[in-house]
Amino acid sequence: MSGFFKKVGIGLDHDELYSRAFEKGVLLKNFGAAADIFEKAAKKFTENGNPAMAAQATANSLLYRYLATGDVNAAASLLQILPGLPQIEAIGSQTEMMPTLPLAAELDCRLVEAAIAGAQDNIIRSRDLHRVARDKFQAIMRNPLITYGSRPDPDGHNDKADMRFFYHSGMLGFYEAMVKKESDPSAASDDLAEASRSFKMCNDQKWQPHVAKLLTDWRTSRTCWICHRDMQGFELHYSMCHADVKPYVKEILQKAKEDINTIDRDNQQIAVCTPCGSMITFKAEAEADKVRQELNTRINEMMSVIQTLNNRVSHLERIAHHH
Amino acid sequence: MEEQDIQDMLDSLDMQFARGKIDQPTYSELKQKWQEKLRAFKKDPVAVSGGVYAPPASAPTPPKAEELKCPACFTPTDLTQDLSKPIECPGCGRAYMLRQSQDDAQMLKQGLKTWIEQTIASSGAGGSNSIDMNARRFIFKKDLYPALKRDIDRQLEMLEDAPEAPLFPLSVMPAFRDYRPNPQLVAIGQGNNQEIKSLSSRVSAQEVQDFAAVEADRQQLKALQFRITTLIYYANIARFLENAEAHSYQLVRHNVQALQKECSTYAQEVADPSHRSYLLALDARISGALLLLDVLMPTLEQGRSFAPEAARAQLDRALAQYAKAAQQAAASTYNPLYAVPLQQGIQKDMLLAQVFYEIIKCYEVVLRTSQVEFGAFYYHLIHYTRALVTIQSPDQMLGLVQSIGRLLAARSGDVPVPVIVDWNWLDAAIQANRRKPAFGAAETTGTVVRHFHPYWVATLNYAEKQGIIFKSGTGREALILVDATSVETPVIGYLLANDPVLPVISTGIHNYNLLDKQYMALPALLSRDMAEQTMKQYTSQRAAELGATIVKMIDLIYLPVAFVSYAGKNQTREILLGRLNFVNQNLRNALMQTHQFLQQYGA
Repeated sequence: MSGFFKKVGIGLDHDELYSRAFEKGVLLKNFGAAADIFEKAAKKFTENGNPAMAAQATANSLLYRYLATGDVNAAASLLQILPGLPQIEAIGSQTEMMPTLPLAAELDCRLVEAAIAGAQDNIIRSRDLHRVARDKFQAIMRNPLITYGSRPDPDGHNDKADMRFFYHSGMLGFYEAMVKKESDPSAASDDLAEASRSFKMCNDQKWQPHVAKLLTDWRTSRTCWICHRDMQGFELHYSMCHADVKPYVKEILQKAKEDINTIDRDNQQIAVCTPCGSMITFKAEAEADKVRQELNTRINEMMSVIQTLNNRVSHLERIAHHH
Repeated sequence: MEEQDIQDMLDSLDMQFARGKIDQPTYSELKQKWQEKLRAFKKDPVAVSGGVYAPPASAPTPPKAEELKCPACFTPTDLTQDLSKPIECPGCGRAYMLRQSQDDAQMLKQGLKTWIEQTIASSGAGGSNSIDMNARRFIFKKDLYPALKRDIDRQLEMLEDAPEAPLFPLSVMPAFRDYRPNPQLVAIGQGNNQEIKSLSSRVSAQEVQDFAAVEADRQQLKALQFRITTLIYYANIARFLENAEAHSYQLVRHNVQALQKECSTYAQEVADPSHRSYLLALDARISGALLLLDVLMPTLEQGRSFAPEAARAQLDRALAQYAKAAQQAAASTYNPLYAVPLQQGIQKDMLLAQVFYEIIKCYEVVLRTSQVEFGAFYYHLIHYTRALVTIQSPDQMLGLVQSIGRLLAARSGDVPVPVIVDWNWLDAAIQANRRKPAFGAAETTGTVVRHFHPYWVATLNYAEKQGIIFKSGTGREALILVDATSVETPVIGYLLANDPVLPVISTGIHNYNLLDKQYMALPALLSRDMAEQTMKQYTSQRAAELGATIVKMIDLIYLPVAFVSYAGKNQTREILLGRLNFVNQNLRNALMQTHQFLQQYGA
């Protein structure tokens, strides 16, 4: 009977529970089960006055919990425990040990990355967190990654720490550009250039083309057709608007030695800076609003007349019906 | 430029004229220019870096001798050449006439003048004939330097990964994507460099330098100058990498040497320790490249006969130098956007050097039994490797050449390899594979050709599973092997703890022997890294069976394999039988190519 209990995990002592965590969890790649059993083993070790093994079991429990679920709280708690342990078992092994210092450094990075995932709508915070992540990865650039094999990041840079460094460096450049784009498109495009280099270094297939396109657009300058000011940043500080552009217009520009790129004859467009363009849009909206208001008044008057007429017709119909 | 430099230049002109290397008009023209420069220097030695700024005269002045550069690649003209004849550029190898160089310099000078006028005019100082020092500093800080830096940053922003590419070509390496230089850099090397030339002329122009009135400004200018000048040399090297023309090592060497000169000079002046650490690592790398080029030039380019031991010793020195450079680059605290490409470039150079080292080692073994020219052997070896397999990575190339070297050394009695020389299993295996139809005669055994077959072997830690309802795993150690000749479709298997063949292979790993020359042996077409990756992929796909696994590579082991042909009533068939039940059956080409190669060189 006791053999059966042992098989189902009842009545096991701390050492047996600790081994069972490997046999039923780690070695079978069932990390969730491993975390549960390590937790039980840790309690038993504590009850039996073995704080060192209790800490090791707790560390393993938290590590495998994090690997199984991605629970950031588990990673944060593990980070608190690791300084007290010189080494723990390597992931997936019962016999091989690994030092805890590199693991702690990597978990520290992962906590920042978890914070980044929660700050995606906030440009300034995203920028600052990517900067922190970049700096933290720079410190461990030559370390092999420990947890990314079992719990990969969706961004795909899971092989080397330097790839993660360059990824965060690229994201930092991107968000830095987003912060600056309104006030200084030139500085913003320099940040994009930096981001582009970083994404190239980590061979990022998603961000590299996106940033390269933005860079090309934001580096372009055109003279506004309306106000004649030079504006930098396509679809940022100027856009190309549909217009009727005859060959004569080109001739006029050439004669006046003005920027010929302000027109695009092939696509029948002219460059209009954002203030001029938006001014036209707002003015058009305001005018349309005014007309709409006038018409609304008249429509309301007419509706009231129609209503009166309707009432009279109904009244007459009722009288006719009585007679 | 010091007074002595000008004096040396004048002496050099006298010597050239005396030897008839330059004609009278050229001599007179150049001498007059240098004498004027000398007089100006004697009159006011600080005029260049201090004093009152004199705007350029309206009439264009003839180009100064130090401005003469190759119109194609912008490498400075070698003034010791006969300037009356076509000048061969030591940087790109193209020939040009002195007049072309002068015209090009004149054109750039015009562009420079316009740029300076526009830039200074925008600062409001355009009309003044003399600008005092404070004004010059102001103009430099506010207009000249920011404009120059912006233009150079933009021009170079996608090119500053140049150190990532190797510093020399090696024809044995097919054009691996990672080993190819930046296409934009190649384009510059091919002559699409007008913008670079104009930026170079701006940043080094005396007229611009005059505005850098204090040391800090001069340093900033030098930093820009360094970036643009080194790019010209990188671009020349990139051109040769992309188009590994014959007789290019000499030119590559010139560019590498020029790069080193720039690098070591600039490193002396840089105050920032992290930047200096980067420059010193680059300098160390270039020293390694120069040592290597000194072997490549005589062996591959000039076809000179050489002692392989001496070449290996030189390669050892080059590799030691590279190891030092790698260490320095890894320790550099400079911006990783620059330091990492340098580290990668060093690794690539080292891999190429190792490939060449292994080729020399092969040649050394071959030379003992057959007198063959290195060039012929080199090209035969390239042909052999390409006929064996489509090489996917430089690492695979290195692995293959190493494996050929080990094979040759083991066959020639030099270095033993792990091998199992047991053919006792073969007869039973031949019998077991013979088809016996229900009606008619059984197949007869035809040819049996034995060979030693390479397998990559690794330890495999896995979980042995017990229980059906209450599953548990016990950690066990086994072996996993991958057929080292199976590249496209890996032939792989493992020997678990209870497998009867496991002890045989486990013992065989430690059983070092020479390879019997009467049997053929194949090299490993799969590199160690490729094998490890394949094994890890294989075990992770079998997690349900093996649980959590750890794979640790051991080595290459040679196992006995036989090519057996069976003749039936109507047809014959061929099969490869091995000590393990997984053997690559697609070996006809590898066996044939290796047979030919070993017949010629394998003694």
